[in-house]
Amino acid sequence: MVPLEHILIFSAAMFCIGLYGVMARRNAVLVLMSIELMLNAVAINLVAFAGRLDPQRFAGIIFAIFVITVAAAELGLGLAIVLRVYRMRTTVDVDEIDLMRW
Amino acid sequence: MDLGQFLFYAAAAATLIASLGVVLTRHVVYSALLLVLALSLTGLIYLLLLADFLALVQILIYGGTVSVLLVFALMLTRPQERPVLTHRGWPLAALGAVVLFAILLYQSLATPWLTSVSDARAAIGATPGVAATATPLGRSPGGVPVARLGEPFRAGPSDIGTALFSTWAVPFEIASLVLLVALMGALVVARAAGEPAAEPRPPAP
Amino acid sequence: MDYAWLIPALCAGAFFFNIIVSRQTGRLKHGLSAAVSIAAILAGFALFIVVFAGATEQLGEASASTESAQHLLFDRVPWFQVGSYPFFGTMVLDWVSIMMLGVVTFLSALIQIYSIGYMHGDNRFWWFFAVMSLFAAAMCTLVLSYNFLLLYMAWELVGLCSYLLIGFWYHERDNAEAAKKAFVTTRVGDVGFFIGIAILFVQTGTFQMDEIFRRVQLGSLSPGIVTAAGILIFLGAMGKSGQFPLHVWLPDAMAGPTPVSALLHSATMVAAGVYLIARAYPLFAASPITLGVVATIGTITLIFAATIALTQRDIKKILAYSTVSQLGYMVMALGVGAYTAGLFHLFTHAFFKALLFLGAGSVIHSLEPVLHGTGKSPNDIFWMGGLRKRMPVTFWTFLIAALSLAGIFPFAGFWSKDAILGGALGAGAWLPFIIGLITAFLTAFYMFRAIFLAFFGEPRWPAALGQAAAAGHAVPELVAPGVLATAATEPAAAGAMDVQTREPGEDVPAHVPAGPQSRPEQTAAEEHHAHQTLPHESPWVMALPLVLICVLAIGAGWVGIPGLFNPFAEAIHFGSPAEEAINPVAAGLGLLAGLLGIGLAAIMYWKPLLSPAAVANSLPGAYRWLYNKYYFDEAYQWLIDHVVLAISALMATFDRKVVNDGMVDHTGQAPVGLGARLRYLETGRVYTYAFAFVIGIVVAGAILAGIFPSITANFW
Repeated sequence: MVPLEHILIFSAAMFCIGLYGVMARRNAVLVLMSIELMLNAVAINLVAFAGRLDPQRFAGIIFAIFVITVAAAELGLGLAIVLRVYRMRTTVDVDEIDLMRW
Repeated sequence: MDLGQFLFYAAAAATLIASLGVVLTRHVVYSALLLVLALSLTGLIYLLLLADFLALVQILIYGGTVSVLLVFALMLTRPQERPVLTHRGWPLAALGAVVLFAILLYQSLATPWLTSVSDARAAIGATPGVAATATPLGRSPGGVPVARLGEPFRAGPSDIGTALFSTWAVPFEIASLVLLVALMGALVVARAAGEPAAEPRPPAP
Repeated sequence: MDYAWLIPALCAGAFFFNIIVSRQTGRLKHGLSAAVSIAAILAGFALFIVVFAGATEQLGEASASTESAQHLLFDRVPWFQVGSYPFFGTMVLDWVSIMMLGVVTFLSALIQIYSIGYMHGDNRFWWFFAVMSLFAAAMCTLVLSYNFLLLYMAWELVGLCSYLLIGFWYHERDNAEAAKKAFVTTRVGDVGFFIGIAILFVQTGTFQMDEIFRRVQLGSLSPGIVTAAGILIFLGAMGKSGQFPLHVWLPDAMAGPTPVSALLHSATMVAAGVYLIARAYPLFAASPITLGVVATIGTITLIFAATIALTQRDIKKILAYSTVSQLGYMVMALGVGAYTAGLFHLFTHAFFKALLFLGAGSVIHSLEPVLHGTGKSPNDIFWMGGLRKRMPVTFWTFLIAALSLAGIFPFAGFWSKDAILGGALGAGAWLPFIIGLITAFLTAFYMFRAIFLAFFGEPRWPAALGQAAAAGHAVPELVAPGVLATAATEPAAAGAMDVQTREPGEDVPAHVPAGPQSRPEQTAAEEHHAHQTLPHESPWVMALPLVLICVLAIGAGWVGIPGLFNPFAEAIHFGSPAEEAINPVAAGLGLLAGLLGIGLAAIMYWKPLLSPAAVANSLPGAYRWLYNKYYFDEAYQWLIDHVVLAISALMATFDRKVVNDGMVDHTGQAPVGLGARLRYLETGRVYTYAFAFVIGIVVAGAILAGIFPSITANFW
């Protein structure tokens, strides 16, 4: 039995790696990918808790299903927006998409 | 350590390395492929955590559709020259991520998780003879009887299906609504500006 | 007893009625306003008699050992409530207030009747009567009130009426300035007054006089507080009664119409200060220091003003300084403890001084057409002379009043002045006694100087002088020969009397309401008068009040004859009534001083055995100082210019720089500036926003993780 803490540390690490990716990457698609990483880390967390603390009701697993669902939806929509922006500005560099600034 | 534990640690390590690759590499396609790898390994981890159905769902969705979607997106938005993929300010971002990790680490280790019967009894100070229930994760009512804490339980597809349509029916419907909205939104947004849906063509002379 | 409040109420009603009636145009409003006003004050006087009769029954002639509190009747009407403090309109009827009420209503009635003649033809006639009614209302309220706050309100209202009336002919700059000066100077006193009231309120929690006096007599207030409050309240009395050094406004107040001078600035309003001291006497008597201050100021005032009066040429100014001096007598009397004497002098002085002013007004009124166009003031006694034959009623009443003022037996002034002198001697205050005696001499002198110059001898107005020279009569040596030749402006050559004045030979500036602005209906009459350039007796509306008041100027003293018939002293006293006989020393010396003064004036001005010019020339410096009123006005002006205005400039700079620029403008600029700097946060880049999120998450995580236990302790 892997101790619960180790799973939590692992998912925390994955979350933080994804966070770094969101902040540091310039390509919009890569940012979206990093968001996927973060969401999956959360899902792992939920599943771990479900397995250890609440196995009879497995609410965490249900939650994780929903997380995956919403993540997929959000990814689709996000990519649609990126494509649209690409058509207009021929770039997906987040640093160059800064019209709403001072 | 037994096989299960070893597999878990190996998969976890591989996932983390793949994730690092996703955020650090300079080739976008490598990022995409490494992401697929990471998420697939996550599916394996779900399996090790006794969530079979979820592992299937994960591999289907992420390994199947999401990866394809991402590759397409990368293909369609390919810049002309070799771009710089990381901000100038990436050390700060790294610092932020590390700090957050440290906090989460500390929190995971410091919290007394009620993962065994003895822990639960100690936490609630149960007196013998009284049917003690522990409320896992804090505050929800109707706790699991203490006697059954720590017993592994594999949630199969039928269990999950039943739960989805009974206890979690409302969130299920809402999730389907979300998907519908996302679908339509993506259609509208991605359509080229000014492109007519179906314009009647003038009759050819 | 319950009707006493009607007296001020009726007069106030007349005031409001007059204001409303003024909407009418035409001559009707003048007559109507006068009629209503006089009706109100006569009704007031009638009510006074009713109240007096009632008081005689109820208060009784109870003499003796009872405390003065037993002589009070008062009525307490709840008026309003501020927080937890209920404010009462409290009215008191003791003999002091009844006496004052009588004086005020009687003199107001007669002087308003007199004003019908004096103010005839003025196009703001109605306003005059309106304000006179308001004044009567305010003054009656003042003497009736037994609550410091109510008294202060009436006090201020009286001051307002004074301002309005002094500046009645405000088109002349000097009149408006005089009104302003009066108000501001009394204001200085009023500030002290109010601080005194406030101190008492803070210490006792009430404005009610009975409560305050009870505590003072019980000794529950510290002596320092009692002294301080007393001195501050006395400051108010100093302002209102023209004591040194706040006396400067009274002579300038003569710029108002003469009935105003007669009523306000001789008999009633200026007496309010003395009344205040008498009313608050329990407070004063409890502190010897305060009484000492009062006596000192009174003594200084009485001789100071008398010396200035010696050299004045304007008859109203002479009377004004005389008033200041007599008020000094009253204040001094109260200061040495001669309570009854001081109030008795207030009583008699009201009558004979009002009479003197009304007589002077009569003279001025008749001289205006004579001196019209010559640039000479009808107030100036040097241009009078021989009026005895032409204005007999005026002459005889004026003479009787002057004899009363000089303290000659058996007129009213004799009894009251000797009561004061006797009181000072009896209290062991020998310095005030001697100064009072000397001033009695001076008083008689300057008063009869005025009488001899105005009523006796040969006429000296320019037309008459011309005739006298033509007829070969000897021109009196009062005026320099150069004056005869020119009739227009004043010559630069000094008259024999005015050797070294500030501006040699300058005449008294005319405060005449000359010109069309105030008297449009006069032009036809003026032309008619121009043919009769001789002064004549006043019309009966003016002469009758003179006679009526004269009766009292003679007889008012006879209610205070000690040892024989002294209901005044039995009624009005502080503590136990002083049973005193005439102090023969004081009486004799006083009478002697008066007679000597008259005699000296006679030999200088009637039968000139001693030339005034010689006297003046022998003491040129002193003469100049006296003529210029000890340069007091110049000193105050310097003070204002250099001190007050400097402070004002400082305050103005503070207001501009700190409040306006700093607080208002900069406060407005601050958001604009802040916004201009903060907008750079909006970079439009995802990275920045994401980083901001992360910072927030990190902080929130840290708090939730318990890294900052103090904060989490507040949360859960």
